[in-house]
Amino acid sequence: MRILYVSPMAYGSNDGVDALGHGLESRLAENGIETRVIYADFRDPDWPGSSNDAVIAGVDAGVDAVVIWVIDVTEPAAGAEYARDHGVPVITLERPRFAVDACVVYPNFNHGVYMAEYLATLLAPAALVGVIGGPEVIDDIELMLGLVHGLKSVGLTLVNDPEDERYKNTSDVAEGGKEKAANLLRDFPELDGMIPYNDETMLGAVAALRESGRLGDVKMVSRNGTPKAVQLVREGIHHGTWDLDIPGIGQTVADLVVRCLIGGEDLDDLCVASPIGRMIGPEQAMSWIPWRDRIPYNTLVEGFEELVP
Amino acid sequence: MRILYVNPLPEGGNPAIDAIGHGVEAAVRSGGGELRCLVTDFREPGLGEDTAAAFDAGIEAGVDAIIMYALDPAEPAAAAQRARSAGVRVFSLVPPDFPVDGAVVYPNFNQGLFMAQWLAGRLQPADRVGIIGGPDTPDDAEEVIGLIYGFSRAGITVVNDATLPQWCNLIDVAAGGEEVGRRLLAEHPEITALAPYNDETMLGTLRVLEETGRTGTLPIISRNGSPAAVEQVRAGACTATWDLDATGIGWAAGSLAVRNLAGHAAEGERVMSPVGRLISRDNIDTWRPWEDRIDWQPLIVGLG
Repeated sequence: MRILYVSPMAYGSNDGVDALGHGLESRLAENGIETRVIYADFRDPDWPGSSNDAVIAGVDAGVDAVVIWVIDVTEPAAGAEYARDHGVPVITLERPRFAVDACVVYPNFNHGVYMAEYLATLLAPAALVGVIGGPEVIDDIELMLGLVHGLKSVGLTLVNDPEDERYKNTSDVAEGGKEKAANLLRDFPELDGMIPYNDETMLGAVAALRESGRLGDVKMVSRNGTPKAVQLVREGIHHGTWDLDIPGIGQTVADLVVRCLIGGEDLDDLCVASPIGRMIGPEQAMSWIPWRDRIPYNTLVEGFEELVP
Repeated sequence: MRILYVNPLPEGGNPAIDAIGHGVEAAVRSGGGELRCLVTDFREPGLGEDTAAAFDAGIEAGVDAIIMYALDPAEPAAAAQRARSAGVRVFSLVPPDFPVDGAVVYPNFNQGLFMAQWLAGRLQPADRVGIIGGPDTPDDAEEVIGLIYGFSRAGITVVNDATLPQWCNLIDVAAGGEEVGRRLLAEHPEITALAPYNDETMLGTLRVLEETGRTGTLPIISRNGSPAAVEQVRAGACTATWDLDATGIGWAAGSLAVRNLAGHAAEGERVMSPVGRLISRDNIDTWRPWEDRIDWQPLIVGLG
């Protein structure tokens, strides 16, 4: 058996995206299913057409199932319909607005709640916390809602509106995080804690805190569990990063494929959650295993030209 | 391997809670263990003390693990500490505020969001939605936030603030849904769709609609996928119910405990429960009763 995985970014562009692909491939390989990959990079001008083309090419090449990482909830609707019309099951990462056989969704809201709960263990009751939001991406919006709800639930004081552009790292790179963290520190000099929404933003916040002389004084948590963030936790500079278990997300998708192809199960629009992950604080950081060491990083085989008659 | 499950409601009180218990039992049995139950009742005062007493009985009986349902996330902290100090592992449906050996997390927000998205896809911008919240447990609060966000994202107006107690079914039975539903429809006659947070609440609102001759005229969505709600979907009185796969939730808790006792789970591991799926008239023929999804055996109450 063979499946097509339509990846949203070229290999090597993003460690997390690569790790997810390897989690998917290795779990399928354990079950005797071969993975072929087409990279339909969402940053390219021909996207999302390229993702529709990829799915159709895979179906024409005779794959047994298609896995798609959905970036825009309306795409690739035509490709998915083509696959299902040809009896090829479609399983997605994220829940799209078109019909698929099953999907994996992210518990972003829960992540936000648990990050707030963890921060509360480091701070005094009602301590002042600033939150740096991210771009208008669904995952990040849901994370923000969880953070806001979580901070309220644990009795911490949110000082800013994370949706205010002054505190949103819409550029999603470290430099933007530095600028927004500096804004927070300037506007709220008594800040006790800070939540940069992801690790890249946190790297910028560390620079801002260092410049303001408050590094280590303001407690921080962020999300992703990247190696750089874990290293800063080990060094005592950062206080916690939520490890998303990205290889585990790929494995969760693979398990649905196995249920469908090996188990013969009609998944019937089943929706399952990806792993919740865990907080990597100082204690966990010492035994933290990088994504690459958790699963086999087999070669991801691109395309299937030799399969097409 | 003997595991105690502290059931938060006597059997027959709520079909979803019953199904969770049977899911726990099936998973423990599948892992080679034996499940015993002690029963509390979250509707009665003193839930924390009753749960603590069940924990102490489990410790006394020498069980290997205790599985609880953290309806009150603060309780029973001291009893859980006593259990863990005595070498009894503690697991929880919903992470509590105190340390445990593992917990099952519900994607409540996602479920609320998907329910709202689905219903919004069948509404017009001029429609007005009323939401009835629950008794302010973490589960219900998160689902309601997902509902509110989902309707907002879809551009559908919600007429009431379902985070306020006056719009919540605080007693969590159909009568409570009926009372809040009656008040909501009276104060907001512009409502054209309803989202009661769970099936029991929805069943209460249906009584109000029936009284006023409006059965089947308002799109309604609720959560749980209970047999009674599925029947109302089949009858056309309710538009859809989110089947949260109650036996799957129980299975997740039971199998986590089994894995932990076998040394195959991380310390304090949290696992996600199933997200489930929506049941409407489009797919109702594929719905299977919870009893048919697992090897459903009687729950043995008592530790003797």
